[in-house]
Amino acid sequence: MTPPLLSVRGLGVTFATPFGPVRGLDGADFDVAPGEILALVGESGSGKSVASLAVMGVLGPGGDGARVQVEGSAIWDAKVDLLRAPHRPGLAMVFQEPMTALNPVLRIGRTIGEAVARHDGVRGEAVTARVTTLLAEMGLPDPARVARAYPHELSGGMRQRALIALAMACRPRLLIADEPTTALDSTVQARVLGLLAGLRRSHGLAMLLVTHDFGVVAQIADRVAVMYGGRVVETGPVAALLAHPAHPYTRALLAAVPRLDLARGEALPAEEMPGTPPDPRHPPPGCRFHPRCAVARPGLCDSGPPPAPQALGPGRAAACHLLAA
Amino acid sequence: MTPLLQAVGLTRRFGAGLLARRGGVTAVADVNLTLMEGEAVGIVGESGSGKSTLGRLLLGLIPPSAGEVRYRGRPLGAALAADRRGVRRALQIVQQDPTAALDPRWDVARLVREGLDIHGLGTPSERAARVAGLLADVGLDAGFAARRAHELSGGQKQRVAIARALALAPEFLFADEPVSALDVSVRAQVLGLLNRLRAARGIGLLMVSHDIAAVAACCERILVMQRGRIVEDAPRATLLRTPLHPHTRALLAAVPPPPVALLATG
Ligand SMILES: Nc1ncnc2c1ncn2[C@@H]1O[C@H](COP(=O)(O)OP(=O)(O)OP(=O)(O)O)[C@@H](O)[C@H]1O
Ligand SMILES: Nc1ncnc2c1ncn2[C@@H]1O[C@H](COP(=O)(O)OP(=O)(O)OP(=O)(O)O)[C@@H](O)[C@H]1O
Ligand SMILES: [Mg+2]
Ligand SMILES: [Mg+2]
Repeated sequence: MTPPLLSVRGLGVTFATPFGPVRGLDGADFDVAPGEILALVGESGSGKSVASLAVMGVLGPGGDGARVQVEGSAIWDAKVDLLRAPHRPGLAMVFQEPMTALNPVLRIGRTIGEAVARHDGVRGEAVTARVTTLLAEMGLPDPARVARAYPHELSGGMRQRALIALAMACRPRLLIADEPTTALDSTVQARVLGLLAGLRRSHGLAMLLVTHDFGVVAQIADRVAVMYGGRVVETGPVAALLAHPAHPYTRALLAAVPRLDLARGEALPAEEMPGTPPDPRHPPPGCRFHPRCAVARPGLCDSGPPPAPQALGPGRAAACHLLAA
Repeated sequence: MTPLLQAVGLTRRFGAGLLARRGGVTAVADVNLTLMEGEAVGIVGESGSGKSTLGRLLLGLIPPSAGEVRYRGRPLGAALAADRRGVRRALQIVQQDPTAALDPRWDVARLVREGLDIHGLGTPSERAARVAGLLADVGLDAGFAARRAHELSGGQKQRVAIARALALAPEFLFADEPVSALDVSVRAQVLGLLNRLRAARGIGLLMVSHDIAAVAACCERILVMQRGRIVEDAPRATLLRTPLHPHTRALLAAVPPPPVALLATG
């Protein structure tokens, strides 16, 4: 086994709010191997963005004994409160909310150009040329216009692609991408995913990909980690996990995927999952999913936290009382 | 059914005039469109094709460069001049980027209640009850009422934005990518909510989504946009079964196939 490029153990993040602490992430574990694409999926509010931000070091570390390692050396651990390096070489991130990540008073070309100059050590014409290439690779029809535009002058999907281009300007080895294609139509999405898959083949680009779209997961990811209530509840290779989801939450999540039946010309009704995701300030006792779980067993699932993830075959594991029983 | 909103030769250019030497963009080009009362219409199409701009024009949030919008048969400008509050209340928007639309310093209860406060609807306790009901409708636990917008995840913000738009019981909702930041289970819940609201209150819906399955789940008619124009306008089943325009075909062909387990169980 090749050692992981990124290794995350016991990652927790607590936010202090006027209404008491909010545990946004509650001890997440996952690894990304070199050149691997790991999809992070799960309920809204389950901690996917907080996990990505924490790995990037945007949020300070938290949790007891938490450890995040890139290529075997700790980029931070629970004892170190500050970032080792302000610009972590090899790591780049596409943020979920383009408007918060792009400087509203700078033209797109300037923002990306600064990243290009910093990473490639070039100036002038060379910067402009690289910026245009990066934007064109994203399938933007008029890259020169996009480079001249301010963020508010672009459509949602154009901004999102500008953000991916900005991340790629850093020539990362590991790309952390939080919902990078949500604002893109299906043709542009296919193109951007194709580009990322190509970079993985040619340059061994690894990705931590946060997405809600199981079509994207099936198309591009190697492995999946499913999050619920701040923890990873199931991991496995894409094909096996999608074909035979083990955790009841994963099963319920897959049942809710909207589907199109082109032959009949309609959308097949998706199943609504009952209940609401847990409020991280008052998580339910026992397994966090049990109040919404179709197969929860009283006296077992509502008593203690679920056991550590059980191995279920090659590369597969899930944390569920019923699988351990 | 009577026409609720109409676009006649509707056109919007950006960066023209003074900035013309930098080359303007025609975001919406000569669009003619009639939306009936209570009708649910979806828009799909290329990124940058003018979907958001068209919605903002229909709501009178930005002025057209040419052509006009009619609300219940009269020019929207005149309707707004006569009864700005009434028209604003009737036509609501859920914006594409929920972060930009929500003041980060406000708590969720205040964000959802704002419209009720502005329009002076109900007693304070009625408003509080309405806010609680709306949060439940969009799948947010009552505990969220006291949280500030910047403390929410992407999907939580989007649901607050939807609750906010629905608070005033509008006649028409322009929902710009209302489910794009939502995980599939909440997405099914919100699409179900939109369908139930339409059935119960006859709200008209214009919904933009790059997710054709989401549009098809809510809308009986689908428009396809490309480069500022509506290139196809058809009932859902017709459009999905026999797409005519090459761009529609390309969009449908590029939808990622459903994952394996779904084929097996579906
Ligand atoms: N700055 C903050 N202050 C307080 N709570 C926060 C803050 N940021 C996030 N949270 C909370 O932490 C939890 C995890 O949030 P996170 O943004 O990681 O969710 P997510 O899985 O990315 O969801 P989504 O799919 O909706 O984007 C949520 O309950 C959220 O409300
Ligand atoms: N305020 C503005 N100033 C200048 N150009 C603008 C402005 N708003 C929109 N545009 C341009 O108008 C065109 C259409 O944008 P619009 O946001 O309507 O697209 P869209 O179909 O909603 O795309 P997406 O699916 O990516 O959100 C784009 O080329 C965009 O750059
Ligand atoms: Mg998120
Ligand atoms: Mg848009």
